Amino acid sequence: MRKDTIMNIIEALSYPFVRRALVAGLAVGLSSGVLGLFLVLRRYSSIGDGLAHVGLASVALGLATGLAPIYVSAPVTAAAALWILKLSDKSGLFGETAVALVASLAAAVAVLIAGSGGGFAVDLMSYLFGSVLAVSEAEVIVALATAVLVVLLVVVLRKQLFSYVYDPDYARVSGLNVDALGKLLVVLAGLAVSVGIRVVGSLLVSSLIILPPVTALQLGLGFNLTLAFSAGISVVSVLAGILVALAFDLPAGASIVLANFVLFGGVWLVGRLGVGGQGKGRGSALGRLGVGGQEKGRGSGLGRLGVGGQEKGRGSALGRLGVGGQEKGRGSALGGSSAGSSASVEDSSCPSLKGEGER
Amino acid sequence: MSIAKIEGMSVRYGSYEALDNVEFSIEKGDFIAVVGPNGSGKSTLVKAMLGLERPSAGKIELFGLPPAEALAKHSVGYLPQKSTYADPRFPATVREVVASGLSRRDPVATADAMDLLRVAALADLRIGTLSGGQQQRVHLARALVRRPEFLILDEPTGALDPESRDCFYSTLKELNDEGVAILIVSHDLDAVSRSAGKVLFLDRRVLYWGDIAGFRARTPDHYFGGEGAHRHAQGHDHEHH
Repeated sequence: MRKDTIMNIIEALSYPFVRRALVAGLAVGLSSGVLGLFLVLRRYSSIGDGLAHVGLASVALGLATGLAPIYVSAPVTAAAALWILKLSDKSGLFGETAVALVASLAAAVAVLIAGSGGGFAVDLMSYLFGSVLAVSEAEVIVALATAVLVVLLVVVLRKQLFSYVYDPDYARVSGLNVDALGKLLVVLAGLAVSVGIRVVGSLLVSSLIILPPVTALQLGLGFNLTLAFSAGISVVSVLAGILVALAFDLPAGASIVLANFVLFGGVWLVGRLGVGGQGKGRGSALGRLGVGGQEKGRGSGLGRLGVGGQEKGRGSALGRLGVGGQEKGRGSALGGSSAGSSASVEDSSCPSLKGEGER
Repeated sequence: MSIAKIEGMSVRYGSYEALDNVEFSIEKGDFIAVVGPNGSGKSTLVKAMLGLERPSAGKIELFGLPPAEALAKHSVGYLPQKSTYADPRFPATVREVVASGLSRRDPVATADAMDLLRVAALADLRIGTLSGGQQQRVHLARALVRRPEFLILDEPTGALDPESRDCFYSTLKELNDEGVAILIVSHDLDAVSRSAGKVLFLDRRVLYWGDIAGFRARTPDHYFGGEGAHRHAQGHDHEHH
């Protein structure tokens, strides 16, 4: 990077509005990266698109009535998220048509208000394409509050949220209030979108929700690591996008989304070009890099380093290494057998409840 | 107090009556096999008992409470029918899936459940990359990890090989001997009849409800050899309408 480019960035960072933009952008990036994974796994990924339309309509309403747009868009978008959820779950609408229904209505409202001749069409355009440098203090507060709530949610309820996205029926049987969890997720998504349309624009805000988790999912990791990577990828994309925009005087929204695509493409390419790939898109990109494809470095990555073989690359690396299944100093079902040549090799004896304490 | 009490329960989907006036109760230590032909309402019965389907008539109580309240207060293990088709792209390791059966972090209980179902060696693999039988064992481990008072299993052995199936039934027997009530939906009349004490034979309504010996006595032997249509069960310990 050229010296004057770096100087441009450093100089820009001395302005309060640029720092506000960075704080709001990073907070929205963190929220959308975390929430996005849950929404994608629950097949609600298009909700971001629907909420973006609602956000634009509510911003138009705010501008038309003279209120600060965020004070209208935050509650209206959150309420619309609940409405979409209710339509999806209770109305018998097929698939994600509830999202399309609400999005169409919101787009029509936005066009009607914009066409009413209030003289705010230019302001509205900045929400359509994003204008991160124009982020207000109120928008920064909403972005930070949303990010704090999202982090708290994940810290306190990660197990419950996992159960909810993995198997909602089982979560319900476990005594979880899955309806409340679903509502909490979409309301937070609504808040994130209401600020996100200021950062990247309503045309691009859904990409903040979809791209980071989709990139993280390619890594082939377990849930906790995928969640961490999704959040990290999102934050890095926002940071890179804003800095590139400042350095080269580009639109920040488009730069952020393109940074997301670069990371997505990079992970995809590593997965395709990696050594010892398995095909069918089932392998771990990290594993192919030899980083250790599963949590705690025990998984497929080690296995692909070449010890033993397992059809379709599905085996446990430890199994292929003949290490057996010792865990944390206690015997596993494999009982430390060195005969294990793959994960599919399992103890031939039948474990007993009565023998548990002795193994 | 009964573990479960079902009185005059019916479930309708529009004009289709999936279950009609079902009545039976489950006591502590019961091991009940629910059998019946395809479409006889077995899975609907399970879902209604777990509060996943709303009955159109009648009453369901678990531990003396409506299902939603009971599930929040008591430990009920559940193995859904479609527990062998995890999306290969879903980012969940075996350990994470088994641990999701617990309300709080407990690595020892998680490891014990994985040992019991012989999936400890698969702990760090993604669930969707496993075979159907392995996935079923993982979901069984999830059902058992919270040491349930009542275990409901919907077609639990469909994807298991014979050895794993025998092992599975012996585990269930041990749990049952410890006082865990078990309700198992199965087509495998032969295997389930070796463990269960009572049979609920369902064909949208209850055609037989009573002990296994009585059911066996009224059913031709060859129906206990594997897949069986059980329409030949004759007579009833209890009359149902």
